[in-house]
Amino acid sequence: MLWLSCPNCGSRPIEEFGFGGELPTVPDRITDPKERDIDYVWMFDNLEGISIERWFHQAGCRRWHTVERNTITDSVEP
Amino acid sequence: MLALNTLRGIRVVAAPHVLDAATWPAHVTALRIAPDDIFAIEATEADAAGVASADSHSIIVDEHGFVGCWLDHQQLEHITRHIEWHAPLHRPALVQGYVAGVPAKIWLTDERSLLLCASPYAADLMERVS
Repeated sequence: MLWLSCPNCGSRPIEEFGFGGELPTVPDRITDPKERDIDYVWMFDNLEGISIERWFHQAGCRRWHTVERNTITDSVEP
Repeated sequence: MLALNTLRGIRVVAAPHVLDAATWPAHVTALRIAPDDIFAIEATEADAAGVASADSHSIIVDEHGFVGCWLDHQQLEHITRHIEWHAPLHRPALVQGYVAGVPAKIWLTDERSLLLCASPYAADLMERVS
């Protein structure tokens, strides 16, 4: 079972969390503000490796936090 | 058999440093749900006047959406069998997470503990831990 470390509540099983998706990053090469908005909202990296993600501790403190998850090994860093 | 009763108090949302400095009357049990969020059981808005003056953006409202019951050591031991994660050893401490698969909180003190959850989950929690 995958466990996540909530900064407020401590280590908890992943069932307690809701996945909020990747933390979006927009490449610097996109300069037009509207295109940056589109990229931010719609374009996902779906990385193989370290992915920065948002998770919501819905069964605990009900707060969002950011973790680094290795999508190959499923290991997580807070 | 545990019986969950409505817990009345106030919910205080404010800047973390303001909540760090807040003081509460002796009869109030203040549960720090998150860095910016306190559920103060048996408190009134007047008890949070200091928070309101220190943080003009604070939110202080009556809260009666939680139910709970006080547990003795034996009852707490029974409840902890329904928890997958490890409770901290220090007291007092607030722990939050699934208890028997239901989102719940436990306020742990040396003398007794308070099991609480949002009122819509009360029936599920009781069914699963009884």
